Amino acid sequence: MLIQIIVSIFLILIILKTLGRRKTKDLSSKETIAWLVVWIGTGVIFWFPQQTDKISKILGVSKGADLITYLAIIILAYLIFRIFIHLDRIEKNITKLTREDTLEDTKKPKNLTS
Amino acid sequence: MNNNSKIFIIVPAYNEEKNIGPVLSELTQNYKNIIVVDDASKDKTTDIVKKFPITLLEHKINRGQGAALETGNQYALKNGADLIVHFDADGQFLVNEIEDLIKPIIHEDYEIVLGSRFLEKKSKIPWIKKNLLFPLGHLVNKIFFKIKLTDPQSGFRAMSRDAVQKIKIEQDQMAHCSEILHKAFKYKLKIKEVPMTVIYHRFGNNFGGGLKILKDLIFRKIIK
Repeated sequence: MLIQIIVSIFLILIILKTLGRRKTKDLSSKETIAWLVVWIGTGVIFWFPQQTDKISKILGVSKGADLITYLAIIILAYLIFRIFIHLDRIEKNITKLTREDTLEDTKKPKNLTS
Repeated sequence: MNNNSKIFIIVPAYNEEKNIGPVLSELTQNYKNIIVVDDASKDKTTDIVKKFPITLLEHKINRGQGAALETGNQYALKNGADLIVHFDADGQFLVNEIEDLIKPIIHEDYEIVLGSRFLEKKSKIPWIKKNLLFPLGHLVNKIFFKIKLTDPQSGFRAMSRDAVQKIKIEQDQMAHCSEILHKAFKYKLKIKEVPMTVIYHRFGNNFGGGLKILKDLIFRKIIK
């Protein structure tokens, strides 16, 4: 019971933070909904863990806890992949800006042949 | 292309204060259009470069050798280069062998010419590189990129203007060697390998560096 209360307080704070970021337009509507589904879903699992057993049986996994672990690994792997792609894009943009800045800064020297 | 072709030598440099002076000294005696791309060196590389009659391009942030070469390529293209040579700043390559690289482009219509450490000339290659890292690199290049050359990781290359326009280097770090070859094969460019000598002052890419190249290549292949 105590863990459920602690997690619930934590989740409420995260939900408020998510809504706050939507208000300042740091998150789009779609992103806000996606994150709310994740946080509310996490709360539901913590309050009704036995429900996951039913879903896990349908999916052929022996225990609900195992199902959550599998899903968590898949979701985390996906998020890491997305972060990699995002980082790669940022790196590319930094290179592009650095290059543009370098080429703009450089004046054509006199010693170049025509 | 003819003997009056405008040749640009691009020298990417990062913390090369110990080696770049003699390299530029020799290059400036033989070639006019020399571009050093300083990749945000922390030592006195730029101070040394400024003593020579060459063009210095300075990256404000370190972006890697591939990124520096692409900056040099773009500058050379903008300034009317007919032929571009990539030359290392660490004194591993011989200036008099540049001629061997550019001749096939000028006289035989080749579009890319690569120096190879494994053709006739004998370079003193460290044992672990020769027997472990290079064979592994060859295998990866053969499997993933269908590149069949004697020395796919060679950084000594000459390219025609058309080839440079087609091959935009997107690999900022060391994986650009494989990327250039992959694109050269993809665009069906006429490629030739010529023997070259490499003087090893230091080990260069170690096993970790090799793995990083592999990771960069595979990651780029996945997200493309």
